[in-house]
Amino acid sequence: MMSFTLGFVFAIGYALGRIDTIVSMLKKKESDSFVAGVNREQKKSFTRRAVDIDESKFVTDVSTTSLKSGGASLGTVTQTKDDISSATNKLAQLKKAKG
Amino acid sequence: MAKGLDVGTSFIVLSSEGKGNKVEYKDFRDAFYVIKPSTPIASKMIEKGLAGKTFVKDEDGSYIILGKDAIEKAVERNDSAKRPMYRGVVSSKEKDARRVLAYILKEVVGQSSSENEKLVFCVPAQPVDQEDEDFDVGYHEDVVKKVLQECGYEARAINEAEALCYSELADDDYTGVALSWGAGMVNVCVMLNGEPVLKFSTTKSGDWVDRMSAVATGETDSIVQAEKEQGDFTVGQPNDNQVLSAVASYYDRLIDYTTKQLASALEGHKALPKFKDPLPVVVAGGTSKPKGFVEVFKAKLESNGFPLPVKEVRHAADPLHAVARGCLIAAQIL
Repeated sequence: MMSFTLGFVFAIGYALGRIDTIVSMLKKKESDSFVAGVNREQKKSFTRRAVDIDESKFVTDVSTTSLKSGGASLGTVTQTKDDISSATNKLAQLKKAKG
Repeated sequence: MAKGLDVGTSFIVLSSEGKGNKVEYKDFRDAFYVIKPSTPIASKMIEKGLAGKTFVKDEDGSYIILGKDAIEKAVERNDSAKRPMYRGVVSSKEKDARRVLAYILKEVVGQSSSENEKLVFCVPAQPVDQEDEDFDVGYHEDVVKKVLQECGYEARAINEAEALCYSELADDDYTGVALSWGAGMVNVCVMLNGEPVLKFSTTKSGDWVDRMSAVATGETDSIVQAEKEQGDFTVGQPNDNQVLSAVASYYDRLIDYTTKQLASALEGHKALPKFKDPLPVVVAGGTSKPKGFVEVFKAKLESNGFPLPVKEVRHAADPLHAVARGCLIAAQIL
């Protein structure tokens, strides 16, 4: 009876001693899981969008040689008194400061 | 010498520096109308009738009338003129669009005066109110760039509303909000110290007003457009003229729609910095020209919950040329 009690106490002690290892093994298995433990943001980063290339759209030379001018030139020209140099310098400085 | 180019749905505007602190603008209406003669005699009659007009003759014998002459001819025939561009980009609806746009661009900008002369042109931003995968700014940009390169320019694209910020926010340390009300779209840019922090567009603007007014009154789009541009009306106010009354009413709805989209797009946006001072809001573009536009826009901004503090709402000094001016400023420094 005495030896049975000692054996039982030893078994309980051994199990308690191993419990940390067993729990950490179970946790590891969970985080390796394909679905569980991965939040939505992480999932987003795993998902790769399919890359579509629209082959019908590419820019070749746009030929206008078949269009013969009827004579009149295009556009109305106007001039306004306007010194844009200060605006240009100010913007250039801001862009430079931003690097 | 650098140049700026506003490639708009309704107007193409070239800007360059003139002598003695002047800026020179060259405007051309972005429209065409095709007449295909049925007989050689009809061809001669049509050509005679087109004397003094801006047109080109195509290899199949048809006449392509360009610019405001195209709109006048369309109105004369109770028809609608065509556009080489639709909603800010080269139109996929018209089979001649790419060729006609290329011809107009080449004629308006001309050959560069020096090798690789810098030219900055504008493109629209991606719309926030349309889940349309066919909206293709990249292709449009490539087409325009290719045409300009053929003319000898080193061409570069910037956003339309960003160009407007460069033109109008110099006295505000290039910080504020700009809205370019074109024919096809409204482009929006929020700028902080010369850097655009947010750019987007909405897909209803002047053409939508024309279309809806045309449906309401049974007229063609071109007739509504002509009435709108020549007539006297105030946004949101009744008018004795049936067409102008519809136009005034749809303008009110357009401004309401745009300010709601604006508030929704900006509310809680992560890219928005915390502005320490109230911002100036600048509007420009042909659609912003009618009487009462700025007042109604200002009122709708407030009532529809614009989420940023506003210092003032003002019109650009030259609403039709402001984007081209901004492109010119950008071309000088980029």
